[in-house]
Order: sequence, then C-alpha cells, then structure tokens
Amino acid sequence: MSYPCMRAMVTNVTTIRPDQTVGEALAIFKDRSIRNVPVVDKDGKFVGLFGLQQVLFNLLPKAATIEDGVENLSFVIGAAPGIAKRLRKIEPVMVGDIMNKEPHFADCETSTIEALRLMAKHGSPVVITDSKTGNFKGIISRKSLLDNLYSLLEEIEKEAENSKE
Amino acid sequence: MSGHEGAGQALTHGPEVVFGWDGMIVSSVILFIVYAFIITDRLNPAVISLLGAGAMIILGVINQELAVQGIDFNTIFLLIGMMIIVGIMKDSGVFQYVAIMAAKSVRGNPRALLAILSIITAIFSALLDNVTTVMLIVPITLLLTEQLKLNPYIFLASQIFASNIGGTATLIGDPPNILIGSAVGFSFVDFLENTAPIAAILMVFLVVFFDLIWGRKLKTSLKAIAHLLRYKPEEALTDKPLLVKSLMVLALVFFGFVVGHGQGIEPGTTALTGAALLMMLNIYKMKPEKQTKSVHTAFGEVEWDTIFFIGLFIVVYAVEYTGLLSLFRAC
Repeated sequence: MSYPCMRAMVTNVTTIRPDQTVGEALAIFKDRSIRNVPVVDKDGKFVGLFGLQQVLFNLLPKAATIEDGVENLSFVIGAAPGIAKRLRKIEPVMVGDIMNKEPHFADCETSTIEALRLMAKHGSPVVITDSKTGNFKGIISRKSLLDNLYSLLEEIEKEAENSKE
Repeated sequence: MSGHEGAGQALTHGPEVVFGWDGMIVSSVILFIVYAFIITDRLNPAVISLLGAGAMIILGVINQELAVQGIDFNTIFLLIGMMIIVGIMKDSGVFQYVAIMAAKSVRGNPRALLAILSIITAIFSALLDNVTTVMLIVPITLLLTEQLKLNPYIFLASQIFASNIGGTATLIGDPPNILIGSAVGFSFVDFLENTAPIAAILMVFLVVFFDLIWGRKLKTSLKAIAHLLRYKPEEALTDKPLLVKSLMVLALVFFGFVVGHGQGIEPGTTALTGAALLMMLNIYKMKPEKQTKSVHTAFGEVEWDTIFFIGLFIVVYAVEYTGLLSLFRAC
C-alpha cells in the first residue's frame, strides 16, 4: 500500500503573484498569521516561495549575503536604525525579484516519507505541484503532515484492536 | 638531452602511441583542445585538463610513470599548504580587522580608503595566494563602501590590479611565480630581491592613477563617516588564540621559505608542514571526533580546482616529451 504525500496536502492556500510587492506580501503575512507564501504566476504555475526568511535576508548588507561573504557583523555598531529603514526600501520591491526561486517541491505522487525528508532537511512548507504542468496544487505544512500521520496512527491502532477482538 | 628524454629512456618500456599515430601531433591536438576549452570557458578548467591528461596517457603519448614525473608536486603542495593556513587563519577575523582598522585610520576618507585598501590587497597578495586575498578583501570592501554610500566598482577594480601586482612580489604570491620558482629553482629571497621592488613601484603608479582618475571624485557624507567610525574592529577578531597560533605558524613558514632553499627544502614541503602544524595546534586538546571534524573543515578550505594544475602539468609534460617544445625552440 502506498502513502502519497498528497494525503497531507492543504489545498486552501493563500498564494501571491511574482509581480506583487514585498509590502503586499508582508501585509498578507500579518493578516493571515503565516510566514511563507507560494508564488504562482497568472497561468497557475508555481514559480517560487516567498517568506519572512527572504525579507530578513534582504535586510542585510550585500557583503553578508554574497557567497563567502562577511561571516561576522558584530563589529558594526548602531546599525539597527539603518536596517529598520531598509524595511521601507524593500517594500516596493517585487516578490519575484527576491523570492526563493529554487525551493524544494514535490508532486502528488511523492511518498510521505520523501515529503517528510524534504521538510526535515529544507524546512516547511513543501509545495506540491503537478508533475506535468508545474501548476500549483497545494502545500504540506508541519501541522498538516503531523495531523495526517496521527490519523494514520489512529487507523493502525483501530485495526490492531479489531484484529484482537 | 633533456631531463624528460632521460627520464623516458630510464624506463624499460617507453610509451607507444595508439594506431602508430605520431605522438607530437596527438599531443598537439590534445593541447589545442584543452586550451580551446579553457580559453572559451566552456568547461571547468580542472575537468578539461584532467580529461586532457587522461587522454595523453590512454592514447599512449606518455605512460603512467612519465605522467607522474610531469607533476610538479612542489607547486601543488605549496598551494594546498597555503590554502589550509589561510583558511584556518581567516576564521580568526584578522582580515576584517585589518581592513576596518585601515578604514578607521584614514577616518573614512574615500580617497584615502581607496588607496589603503589597494595597498592592503597588494600586501596580502604578496604573502598569500592572490585569488584567496581577493576573496577575503572583497566582502569587507563591499561593506565599507555600502556604509559610505560609495560605488564599490572603483575599489574592486583597483584591488584586482593591486592583487596582481602584489602577487608578483613574492614566490608564493601567484601560481605563475610558484611554477617559475619551482622549475628554475628561484628562492623566496630571489623573488623578494628582484620582483618586490618593481611591484612596489607599480603600486605607487596604481594608487596615483586611481586617485587622479577616480579617487578625487569620491564623495561621502559626514553622517556615513560617523557610522563607520563607530565600528569596533576588535569585535571582528572572533578567535584571538587562533590568530596568535596562525601568525606564529605563518612566521615560521616564511622563515622556512627564506632559509629552506639553501637546505634543499622546497617551499611546498614548508607550506604543507606549516599547515599540518597549524592544524595540530588547532585541534590540540580536542576530542577525537571533534579533531576529525576540524581537520575536515580545514581540508575543505582547499580549492580543489587546484587539481587543474595536475592535469595541466601532465598535458604540458606530454607535449614537451614528444618534442613539440624543442621544435619551437629550434625555430
């Protein structure tokens, strides 16, 4: 018996277009109490993932975000007001410009254990796409995956009880 | 008789090119293909040079023993040793510390900063590999120029030149110097006496040139300078004991470069021994599993693109062995 990860998929998900601004995305995050949002183009194709991680990353000086960049910024004193001002600067930036363009995603047939591995290694959520069209289908969050595993556990335990009787 | 010919005759069975092809032609074609890929940047140089080296051996232009003879292990060991030392040393934060101290010493003046960062780049390039130097100095340059709201490109352009000039000053500053020194037998002191003064003169020209063309036009605000002056360079020094160990080993390595030549100790041996000594000092008192992790991290600092040289040595040695270079010399 196979256990595809789509059993844990949430389909009622807020998405955002790549041409929407970071300010709009931040308003959505605040309004819905979420931290990540899949970025989907006008044809419904999944193009990336945007979250608070990308916002925080872009508040840092370039020197700290490039490959082999500065690894310690504790010598920079009194930079917090400047960083706060950067928030205003990145608000008009388009989500498509700073989103994670290479997120880890799965398709409907991906097994639950692979989805679990992706989530454990690369973080939540795991985006589910149609393997043929690349269209966005839904996400698997930590909560939805755990809920799914608990319902499976209940089924197993119920079956075990029934077989005892 | 060249050394290579001698080496070839010492073998019981010399190489035999497949299908009876002419070795000189085959080696020339392989060399041409390898360089075509390197110049056009179509394939990673390390990969194409290794493929070329493999082809030279498999097609019988040279045999296995000759291929190994062609590798200049002194150069490879010197590069690897210095990469490990610098890789460990950079974790102390010393390079950031020096750059921030320099920026503060000129009170954030953009013109002076352009000059002093170029000079620091040249000095580091003379003492370390210049690619490594640029990789260490560029991030901190970006940070300083962003703080002062200056265009970083002028600074980076100046540092590219400075790195190349500084690299020519010493035996270890640049891979070509290492290759020349190793092949001809020039010592660390030979380079210091002959190329370092010229490099110093060139640096003066470079600093004046960049200042006249771009430096004098650089402007920043007093507010930005005030922010820069608040930097605490001592906070950049994240591991002072490591810094002390690294400087101690680096001093010993340079001492080894200077005195080792007369004793028949190659710079590659000195650098690799220095790297091993620094790793030992770094892992001393650590638990075995932590030691392994630390040593793996140190080895991870080696840019394995250095393998490029192994392939290239074999390719060039094969070309030399078949007599192509002698033909050019005769012409």
